[in-house]
Amino acid sequence: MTRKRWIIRSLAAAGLIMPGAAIAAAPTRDTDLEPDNGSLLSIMAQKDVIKTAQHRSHQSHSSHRSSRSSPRSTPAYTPPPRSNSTPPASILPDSSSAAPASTSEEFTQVAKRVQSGLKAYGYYNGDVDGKVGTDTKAALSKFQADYDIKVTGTITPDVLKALGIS
Amino acid sequence: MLNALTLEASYSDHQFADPVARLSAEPGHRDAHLVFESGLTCAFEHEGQHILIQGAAAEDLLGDVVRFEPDRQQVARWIRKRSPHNTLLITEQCDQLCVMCSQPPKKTHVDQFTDYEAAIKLAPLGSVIGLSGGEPTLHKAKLLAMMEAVSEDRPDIRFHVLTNGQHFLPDDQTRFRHPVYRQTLWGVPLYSADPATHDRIVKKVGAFEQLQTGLDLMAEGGLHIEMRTVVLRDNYGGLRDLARLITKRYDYIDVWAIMQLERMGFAKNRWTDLFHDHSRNIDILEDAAAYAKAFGVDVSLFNFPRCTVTPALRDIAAASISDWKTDYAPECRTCHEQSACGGLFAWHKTLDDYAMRGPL
Repeated sequence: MTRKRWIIRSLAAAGLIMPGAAIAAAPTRDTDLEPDNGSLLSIMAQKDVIKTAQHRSHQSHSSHRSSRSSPRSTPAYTPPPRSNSTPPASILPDSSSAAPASTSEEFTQVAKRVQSGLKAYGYYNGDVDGKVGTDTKAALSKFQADYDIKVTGTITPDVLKALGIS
Repeated sequence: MLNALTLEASYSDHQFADPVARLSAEPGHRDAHLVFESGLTCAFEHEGQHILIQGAAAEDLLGDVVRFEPDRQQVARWIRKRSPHNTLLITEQCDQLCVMCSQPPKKTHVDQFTDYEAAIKLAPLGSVIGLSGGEPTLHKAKLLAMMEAVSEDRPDIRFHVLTNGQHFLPDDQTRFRHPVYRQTLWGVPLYSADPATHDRIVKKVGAFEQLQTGLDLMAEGGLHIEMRTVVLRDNYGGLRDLARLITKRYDYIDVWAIMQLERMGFAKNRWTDLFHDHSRNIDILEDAAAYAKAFGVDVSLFNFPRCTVTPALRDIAAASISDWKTDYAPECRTCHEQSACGGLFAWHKTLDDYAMRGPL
């Protein structure tokens, strides 16, 4: 929890999310097929802070509920932007996987989903192991070039959006 | 945050077999490679573990040599690619106890030579690496072995070592023929021409005499020496005498660095006792510098804001304060010479200590 707070605080500091929004939003369970790592993922994707908070609710303390009454707790829902194509089912999370112990491990889960996505789109043939090695980086670069987003060879918010992961 | 020495980081729970790595764009031996970037947050992969780092853009970190520290949830930026001021702390032990020490010594020694050697070998081409303490030569054998080992792989690396110069022996002189010492500058403090004053400042009886032997031995061995004198209330008046001693007795040095006090460590609580405003009797500083120069000894002024010295001295007032600890006073904003000025220590960014001050 401490680490999650940290990453949210730090991303807020980086101007990526609204400070406080994630904590204050309604702890309603979201019905999407998202894994427990949804919080980090959504933050990484730099969008839909409200949804982020909802996923966080899986783990939130009751103290968060009390903040519902604050003015910040009822923001309007904004649907996330969609990529052109619908991601294949293989990108969807494996709900049987154990909850990650740290933000770092959550990131590894995200990396696996990116690899699955790249695989489904035909850019990647390697193992879905969360290790972003030379093959994965090459696949990312090619994917970024084809989808007309900034070519970095790394996972970026644009990549997550384009793969529909978030 | 560009110059921060440590950054917050998130790790999985396990330790690393090898915590020292270079932050790189591509995977490679001893490289932790970038896998995610978004603004001031990025993630690197090292030994199969992902490390999320907050507070710096990926482009500012690539090329840095870091030590991953999961226990502290931080990344220590040992060698920052864009910094000319990379210094590694060899030990916190010291056999002197200088009254104004900015890094007061500790009894215990944490041996990091293996990690340091690995780190320096990953440094950017042509880096100058500072080695400091404590007294690094208390661990002389390992220190010299490390420097020589680095040089075998990386002859482009240069060193700047701060030492009290009292631990070399005649036996070490043959060793000094190693090529690494041709590109190493040894910064050695000498505070006064008067032995009693010097010993009082370093709080070690006989230090002046031991230093004399040590300096001669270093010079005979062909080492490059930077003499360092911090100005204090106790020794400022003796600067002219010190200039005379240096030109007469130690004319083999490469450069004489005269340094204003850093308000850190012991100097923090003893500031009023120790600090001397050179601008009140700048003639002493001018005479000492001119005298040394006349005898062919180069002089540099460290930590002297340009506005606090006379124009004649500004040419030798170096922008010496390490980038990560430099700041400026509010009045510096309108100064025309700010870009050439070393500024002030970030934790004491005031010009109020000086009778003569800017902006220029």
